Amino acid sequence: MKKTDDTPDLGRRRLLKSGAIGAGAAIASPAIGQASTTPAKPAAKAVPRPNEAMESGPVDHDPMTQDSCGADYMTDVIKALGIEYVATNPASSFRGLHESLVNYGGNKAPELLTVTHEEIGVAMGHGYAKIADKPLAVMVHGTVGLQHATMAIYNAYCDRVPVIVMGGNTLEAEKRQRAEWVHSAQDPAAMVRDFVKWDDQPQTLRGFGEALVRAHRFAMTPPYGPTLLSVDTELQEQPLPDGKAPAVPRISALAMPHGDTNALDEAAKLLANAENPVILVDRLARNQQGMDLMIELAESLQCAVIDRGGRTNFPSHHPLNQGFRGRTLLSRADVILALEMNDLFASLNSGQDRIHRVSRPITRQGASIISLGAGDLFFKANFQDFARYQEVDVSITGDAQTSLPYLIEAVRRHVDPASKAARDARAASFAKGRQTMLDTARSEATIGWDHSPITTARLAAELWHQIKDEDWSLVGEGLMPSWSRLWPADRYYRFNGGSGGWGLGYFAPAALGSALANRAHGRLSVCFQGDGDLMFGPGTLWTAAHHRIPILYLMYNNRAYHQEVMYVQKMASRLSRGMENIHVGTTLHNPNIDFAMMAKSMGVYAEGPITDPKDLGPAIARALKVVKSGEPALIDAVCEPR
Amino acid sequence: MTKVHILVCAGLVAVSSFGLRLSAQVPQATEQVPAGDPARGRATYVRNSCHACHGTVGQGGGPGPILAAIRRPYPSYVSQMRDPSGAMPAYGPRLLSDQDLADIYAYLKSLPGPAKTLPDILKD
Repeated sequence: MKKTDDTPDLGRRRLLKSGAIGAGAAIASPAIGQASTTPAKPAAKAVPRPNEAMESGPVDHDPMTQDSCGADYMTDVIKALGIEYVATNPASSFRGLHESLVNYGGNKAPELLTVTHEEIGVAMGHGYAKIADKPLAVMVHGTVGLQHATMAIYNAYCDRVPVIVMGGNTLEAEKRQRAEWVHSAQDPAAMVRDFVKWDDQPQTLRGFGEALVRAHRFAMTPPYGPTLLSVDTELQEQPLPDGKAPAVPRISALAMPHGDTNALDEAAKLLANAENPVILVDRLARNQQGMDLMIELAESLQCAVIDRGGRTNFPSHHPLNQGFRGRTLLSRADVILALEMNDLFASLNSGQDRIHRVSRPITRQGASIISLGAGDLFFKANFQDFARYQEVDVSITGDAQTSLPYLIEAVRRHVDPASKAARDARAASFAKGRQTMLDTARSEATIGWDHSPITTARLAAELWHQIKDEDWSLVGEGLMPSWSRLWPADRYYRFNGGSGGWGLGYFAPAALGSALANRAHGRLSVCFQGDGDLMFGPGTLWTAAHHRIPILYLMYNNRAYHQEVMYVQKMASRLSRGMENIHVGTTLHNPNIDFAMMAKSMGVYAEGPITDPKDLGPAIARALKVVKSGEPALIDAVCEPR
Repeated sequence: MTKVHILVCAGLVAVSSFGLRLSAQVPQATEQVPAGDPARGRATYVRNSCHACHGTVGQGGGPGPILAAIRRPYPSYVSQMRDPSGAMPAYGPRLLSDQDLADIYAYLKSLPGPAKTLPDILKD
């Protein structure tokens, strides 16, 4: 729907050679032999037809070829920024940049990724950035492509992840032809301005260069986030002025902002003197250094860490990882350090989905709460992703990962060596409790072991058994319960967190984007893929096959939107109306979707539907062989609801 | 239409409702447990979508704790069904009769709990 009419039309207007026919100018000729008895009226002055002034007829100079174009300069800037991929669903409004990237740019660094929907492209960028710690770019078409992309842009914004979106737009009205009118806007970024960090609509090539460098800088300055450029079609397509391109703006390395060192010292003092300190962390680790620093901090204090999972911030099997009893520990803590928390209020307060919604703090009276993060450096008001305000005692604004070295040094200064025995004893009790939890979890995983539909515990165990010795990366786990808590996540790329905005349609393409980043490192990417999520963007599978991105999609196919089943169930309970109809509008069966057939239709190796758990292991083995050969694969496993 | 999901924090909610199954179990009270039909209980359990959160064989996962081989005392179970804590919807008498509750309890009791030995792949 985004394509302009492709009938060849060189845009020439031919002047009608007939004489001007003005309104009321007709003069009746007298019949032969009959003399006219009325005086002749003077000829009416010819009224120009609309747009006549613009009709120039054949022009003297209307070339069909040119020797340069602005888009080549744009390609130079994209390359200078080290952007390795540009995802796109092709369209007329960026045909200039598209052609430049694949011809002038050699389709290498950046390489063009073809997607079947712009939401897939942006979501791929979202997943890619969480592994690669840098953005890719996405080209979207005018108004319509950007509208397609908005959900994924919102997810990236909420999750604080960098993606650079470039939208083609035809600014000059006289240049627009046919469909270009409905694909153009005065201010296309207005659609997404409330959930991008920054946007611009450069008018010149030099302006484009500066804008793209700035867009990259803003996207990559914590808190990270998506940015948008509206790129004029004429700016792309017209020859370079005087045949010369402007210089590519100088690109400087980014120094990340850290928290005030006095405040960090105050925080360190509180933590070092606490009896029951707890660290709560959500979106801290941008790369492995973040996880390594978290280990240093926790071990300096020998305190519990509750990882909320926005990123993989702390090794999941570290003895100090106590997320499984987070509520108990938070209720006993005298000092809580909250690092890059998305929703601190929800973590520190209870709230139940009842008729009267009341929240109560779970922390004990007098507990000191320290907040450290970059969130307050950038906020917008309209969309409410900033969550409810949480009172804290020490509020430090700065990138938490960048601040950790200062905090660790201060903690080491303030920790009393005489308290080492007490701290070690605390750590030992945490380790014991953690081992008990793991043993219990393994035992509980056996319930329904041979049941059909397949239990999620069995699904996770069968996959883990075959990837445990690989350099694995779980790039998506849908909304399934985290039986993957039995998997030791010891690197930042083991899990890549959630969507941020909780908009479905994220997991399949984001997993693919993460797999793309992992491919460069030879990692094995696997994903527990929900059925409802995949149906938002099944074209993701085609992109995986076309670009040979190795990933195993192990479907967690429970044939429903089970989160929504719960919500409708809640309302039916409140009104005592019975549960017989809660499946209406919440299920994906009748007919059952054949995901294996769908995947095969797009060139992806696939098996299923598998309903007997004993068939899972062999199927996974066959699929992993395909993935290790460099191709994507999908297994449709029909599962229990949770 | 893209759906927005509210995160249900299993880690914070799981302590509510039927509680975590720890190795030290609550001792069974010697109360009178009304007779129930496990087969009828299973049908009622599924018809009321209890399996959506607790699993068809009470294996738990996600927002719903494990119910298989339930050891929670009957009065406490009834209390949780009628006036639950946590994310669970309430099942008042208009939705489930006292007999329905007894049938479901009988079904849950009939379900096997954790296996005595771990399958090999769980020992990884």
